[in-house]
Amino acid sequence: MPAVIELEGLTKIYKAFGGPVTAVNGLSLAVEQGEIFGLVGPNGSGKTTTLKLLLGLLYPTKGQARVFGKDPVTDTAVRQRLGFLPEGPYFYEHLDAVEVLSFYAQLFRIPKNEKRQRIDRLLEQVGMADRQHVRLGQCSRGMVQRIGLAQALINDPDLVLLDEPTSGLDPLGARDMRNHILSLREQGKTVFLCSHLLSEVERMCDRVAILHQGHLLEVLRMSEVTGSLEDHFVELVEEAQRH
Amino acid sequence: MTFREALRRRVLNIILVFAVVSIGVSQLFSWLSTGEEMKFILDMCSNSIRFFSMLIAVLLGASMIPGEIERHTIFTILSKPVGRTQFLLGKYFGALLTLLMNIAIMSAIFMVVLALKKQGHPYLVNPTLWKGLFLVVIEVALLLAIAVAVSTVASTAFNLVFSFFIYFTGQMGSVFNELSKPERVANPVGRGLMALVYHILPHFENFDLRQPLLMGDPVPFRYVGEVTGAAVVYIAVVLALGYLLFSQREF
Repeated sequence: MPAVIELEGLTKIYKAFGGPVTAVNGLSLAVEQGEIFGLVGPNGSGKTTTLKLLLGLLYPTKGQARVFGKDPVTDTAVRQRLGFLPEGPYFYEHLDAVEVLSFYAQLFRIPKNEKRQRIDRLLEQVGMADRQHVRLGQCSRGMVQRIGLAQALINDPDLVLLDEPTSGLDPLGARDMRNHILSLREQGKTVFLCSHLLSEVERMCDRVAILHQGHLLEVLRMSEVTGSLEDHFVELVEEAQRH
Repeated sequence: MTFREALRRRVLNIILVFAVVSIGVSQLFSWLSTGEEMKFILDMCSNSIRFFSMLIAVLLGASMIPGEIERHTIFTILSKPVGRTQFLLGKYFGALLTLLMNIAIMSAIFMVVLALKKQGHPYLVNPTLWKGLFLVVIEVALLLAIAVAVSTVASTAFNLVFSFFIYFTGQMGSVFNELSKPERVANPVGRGLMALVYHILPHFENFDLRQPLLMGDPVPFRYVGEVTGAAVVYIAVVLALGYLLFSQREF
């Protein structure tokens, strides 16, 4: 089965006043269908940049990214199969959860009769059914994150891209988010998530790619990691810094 | 979404209130002689509608894209199967709908003011007045297109200043046309520059029908058609340019 995500020599160089900044450097990896794949690294390692390159929000300087075999920059139709939850998501504050999901459902041209059912089901799944008419401007961070996950799933995507999904959540909220993500794999979906919270990644991911300063240090299967991921990560990064 | 969001923006609602008040108070000037009073009402109301519509157009257009970027809402929208053309045109027409609603409210108050004066009744069906209101719509649609196009690459602050500058400079089209003539400016480079500015800038003065309205002069439909046609072409070019800039933008 072809890989859901294929990155080949993916490079992104930003032009900045102080000189060019290489955010991602020659990144090559593949994500298989049905797995939860984690991209980890310290802040500024290129995780979010990689995610945005997959969504066509950024354009590669070199190399290519392919999602379901298509170029996400030129083929907007591939986004029909994607769901995306950005870090610390923001939505129109004057809308409530139902209105937000309705808006995003319209972007996918989901038929009206199906739209309401999906919205109700998703709000139930993320635990926002009894607060569906609270304006987002009055919602807590955790509530907005849940609504964000619901909007990422509104189109029943095959691939879900999550940027720091548990960041800023309390332990209960993080646990709920983790359970939601694990349930996505049970539904046969592929999940690609970025996180610097290694303890969370350890509990969710099948495989993990470790980034440092835009470079891929290693791709490993969680089942092959002896000890903690954090120790392994620190060891790798320190070795990379020595070289 | 743009329309709904615009309805909730306080600054736009405040501008609308000011517009309604300035149109409404025009009828308090009954101490002027009858002929002057009507001229004053027509001038002040037309001017208020034009001015406040321009303000709303620039404020809406200038904050269009920068607002979405600052709120980070643009990430979740452009990550959906929404083309950038669709996004840009959706923002433009949503803002245009807001403008139309505001102009309709201001025009309705204007009609009430005219209806309250016996000598205002003929103006309720005056073709020049209605053509003038129609051209206000076309004028702000053009100004909005410019502001939206510039918003794809510029900050709100820059765009506000730039759009106002284009609007007010565009009122001086006839001046630039005069200055492009050899009898006015000897220097060929200077003349060329004036001619370039004249041909590039939109001629906003052409949308202003206050003078014929006040003088009672008819305005041919052909004139309205020509000005509208030119504006539509200009809008299409400006939005196309905006799309080109927007398509290169990274988020």
